Amino acid sequence: MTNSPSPVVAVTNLSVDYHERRRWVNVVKNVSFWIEPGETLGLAGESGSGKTTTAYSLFAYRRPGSRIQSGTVEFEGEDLLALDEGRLRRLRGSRISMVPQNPSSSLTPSMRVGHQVVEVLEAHGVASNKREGETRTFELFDEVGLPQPRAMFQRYPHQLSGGQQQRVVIALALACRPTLLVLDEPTTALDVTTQARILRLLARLREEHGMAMLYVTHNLGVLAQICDRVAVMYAGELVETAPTAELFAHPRHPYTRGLIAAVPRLKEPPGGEVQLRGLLRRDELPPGCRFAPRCDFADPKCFTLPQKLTPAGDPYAVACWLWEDIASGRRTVAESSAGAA
Amino acid sequence: MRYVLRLVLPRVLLAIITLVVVSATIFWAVELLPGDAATRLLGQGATAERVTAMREVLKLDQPPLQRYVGWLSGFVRGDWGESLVSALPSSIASAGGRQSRPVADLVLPRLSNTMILAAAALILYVPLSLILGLVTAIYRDRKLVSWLSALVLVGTAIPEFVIGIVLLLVFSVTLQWFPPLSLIDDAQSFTQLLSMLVLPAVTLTLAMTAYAVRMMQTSVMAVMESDYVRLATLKGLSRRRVIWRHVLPNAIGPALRVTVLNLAWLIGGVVLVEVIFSFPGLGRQLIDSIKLLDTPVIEAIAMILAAVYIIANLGADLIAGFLNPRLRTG
Amino acid sequence: MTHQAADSTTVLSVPGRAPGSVRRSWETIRDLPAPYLLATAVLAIHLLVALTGPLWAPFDPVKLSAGPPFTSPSPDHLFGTDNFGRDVFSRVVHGERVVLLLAFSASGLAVLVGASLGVILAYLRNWVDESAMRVVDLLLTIPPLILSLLLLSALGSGYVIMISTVAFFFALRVLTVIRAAALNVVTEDFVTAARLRGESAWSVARREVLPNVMSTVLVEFSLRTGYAVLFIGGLSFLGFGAAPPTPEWGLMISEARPYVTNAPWIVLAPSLALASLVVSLSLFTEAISEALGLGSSRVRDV
Repeated sequence: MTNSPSPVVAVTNLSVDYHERRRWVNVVKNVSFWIEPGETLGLAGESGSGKTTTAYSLFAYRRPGSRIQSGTVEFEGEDLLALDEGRLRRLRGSRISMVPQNPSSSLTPSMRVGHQVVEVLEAHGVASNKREGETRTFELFDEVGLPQPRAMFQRYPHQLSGGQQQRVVIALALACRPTLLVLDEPTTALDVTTQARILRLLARLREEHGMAMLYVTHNLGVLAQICDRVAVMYAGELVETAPTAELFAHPRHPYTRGLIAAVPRLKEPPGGEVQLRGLLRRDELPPGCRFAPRCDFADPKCFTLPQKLTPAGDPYAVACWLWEDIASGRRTVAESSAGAA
Repeated sequence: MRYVLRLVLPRVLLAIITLVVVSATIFWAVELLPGDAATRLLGQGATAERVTAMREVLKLDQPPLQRYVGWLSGFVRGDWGESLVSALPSSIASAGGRQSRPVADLVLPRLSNTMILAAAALILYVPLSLILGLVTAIYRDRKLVSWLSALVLVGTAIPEFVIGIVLLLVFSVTLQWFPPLSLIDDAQSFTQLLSMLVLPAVTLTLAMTAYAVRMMQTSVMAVMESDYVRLATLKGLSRRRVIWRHVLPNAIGPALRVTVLNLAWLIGGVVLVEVIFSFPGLGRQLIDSIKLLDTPVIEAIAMILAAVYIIANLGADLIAGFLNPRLRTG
Repeated sequence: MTHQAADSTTVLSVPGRAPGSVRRSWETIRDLPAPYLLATAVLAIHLLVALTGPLWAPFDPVKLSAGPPFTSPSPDHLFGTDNFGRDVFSRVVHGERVVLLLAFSASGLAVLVGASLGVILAYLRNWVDESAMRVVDLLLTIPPLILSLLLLSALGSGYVIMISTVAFFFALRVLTVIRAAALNVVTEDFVTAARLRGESAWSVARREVLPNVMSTVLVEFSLRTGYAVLFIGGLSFLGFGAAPPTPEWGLMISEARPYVTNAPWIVLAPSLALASLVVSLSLFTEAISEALGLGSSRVRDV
């Protein structure tokens, strides 16, 4: 895996465990990736793939009951995971910002939305007094397309629509002009029309400000629209990274192939759909490739041989030792079904 | 303003209706008490005519409904009737008959005693439970705190009369720091009064605090794990700011509500505690008057206690409503 | 207006587990923190004593002068003797059965009536439900202790009356909780689907609603039993519950009060027994509540 000389953030061998009922369960395993300046990296996967946990790790945020077992998160020359609270606080919200999934529950109900923005401006010294903070907030509200910024300032979160709430959250995230924006499925909780509008807004803001983005989603359509590169996760591991167009045109990892193929196409005759087999069973993961139980191409060795993300032609990387055979057609579904679980 | 009315009016109306229903229930229940009041007053040897005459005086010959209405209207006006049992000393009684004491004379002093006790308990309980609740919830990853929480959990399950007895045993009987009987009417000095208040007030406080702390803990923890607190943290705000501006305002609602509900609970708790410590309050008087079948006193006290209970519940409801920003601003 | 006016029971209920997850429930139980397991063990001891106590208690609980009065605890009399010379240990042991029987009866009756009505109302969801809930809300704001005292002194303090009175108040609250839990289930799509398939109301109730509500019912039963022990103990303490010489613990505590200075063990023994029973019951309720996947935040009432 090659890094360009100075990526905005570089995650190396990140592993995170959750404490569930007296046991530690691994949810992210040896994940490594980087994001270039101005680039939008999509982090794709089903629920349970560990993508959200990975995203929050970029803030060195440890959910109560979780521990970061290993890894480094390099941002602007520092390993965030090794920083003290004080330094982290200065970075969060100002250099790295989050746009969370559920805008209605992410805004503090007891505080007016305007004050919630002023708060972050004052905390990071972007505004030195209330007046400055307010003015800046009106500008931000304008930028994110909120009508009547002055009136909006005084409102409480529950008085806003879903789309408006999400715009406020985006304004919050952009307030201090961060270098990196982390978005956790920002449009999932919204209706389709609003979704489209928010996506357009995000594209425009990216144009204007040039920040790097990590866009977490399970929605392939959104990925295609807004991401430059995509990293696909399955069961806590990264299985493939590739530029978006290439990923959709030539998926390499069996899981990615399954994902792409499962998207219904207009031109396909009915009955010809491909489905991903089975379900992710957390308690029955083999020591080798975690996707093996559901893989149509699996070889008995797959179950015991752990897969690592290996370059497959710069800048692609795949975590499947059989990918070339599959891609070239030397290995087909029929051939391996005898060995499949 | 409209919204305030829409919030307050129906609840107040319901409270009033409940009061009326409860008054009817109390009256009906008291009616069922065994024995004939007239005979009791005059003694077993009274002649039939005197009993009949007394029944007329006591209005026992009227149909129950009429008596109920009469009583209720009198009660609201402040006329609580006269005790069937307590008599004025003969030197004051008019010649030729017993002069009964007005119920109000008997009840009001006891009421103020109970209120003093309740106030003492509340003064102790509010800061204690707030602080404990907050601290145990915010710092719950510390070992000491989790033991404290376990202690609180155990505390909620211990019945208040057991707490009272144990306190009595330890502090009054063994250590002799406080008097075992809290006869505050006979207190010679303010300090003596205070020392008599301590044990019963602390008993009530402990019982209420354990419960309130649990509620605060749950509430604060729920808020601390909320999405908006998470975002506030990720905004890079200082911990102090997150706690004061984002956690507290949203966690305190349930705490207030619990306090008011505890007030309602006090009605039951105070009865037991007064009995244990022989505290001359309303609760003990209720028990005594039930045993003596002194109906007007029973009715008066039951109504007072029920009214406090109902109003406290109304208060809790209203607080919950006001704190919900959706209802405040519409 | 909420149907949780006076004293909401904030149960974060989720439709209960499907049958066949017994194994998972067991794992959940095994993984519970130590205090819960300890509490369950203590509770089991209480139940054992209730079941077998009278068989092995050394003395007859009402026998006067089983020993000299006011003997302090000794090998002959583990908890000493009281003012009548009765063996306190035997009284406590016998009392266990009395206390638990009364409490189980009261809470059992309350849960039976309350849960049935709750499910029915949740299923109806029409004007009957609406008006019934208004009445229930009204009744919930009546202070239970006061009314119980009045009723019990009026109607006599026989066990049946006492259990019924306690059960009445509890049933109201159980009704509220179960109705809320049932509403969660009844409005789910799979119930509507079952109805659309043509299944009768009864079959739907039995197969879809009931299993999902069962976990809430169990937790409520455990919870109410704890409150019943307290309530009945309190009533007996005040003299409105069990009658002497029944070794009911609340009554024993009240009887022992005059002697608290010179013979504290007469008061201590039943107090500790009572406290240990209620605490373990309370923790047990929390434990099964978590094991069954329900929330553990509750607002106390009564």
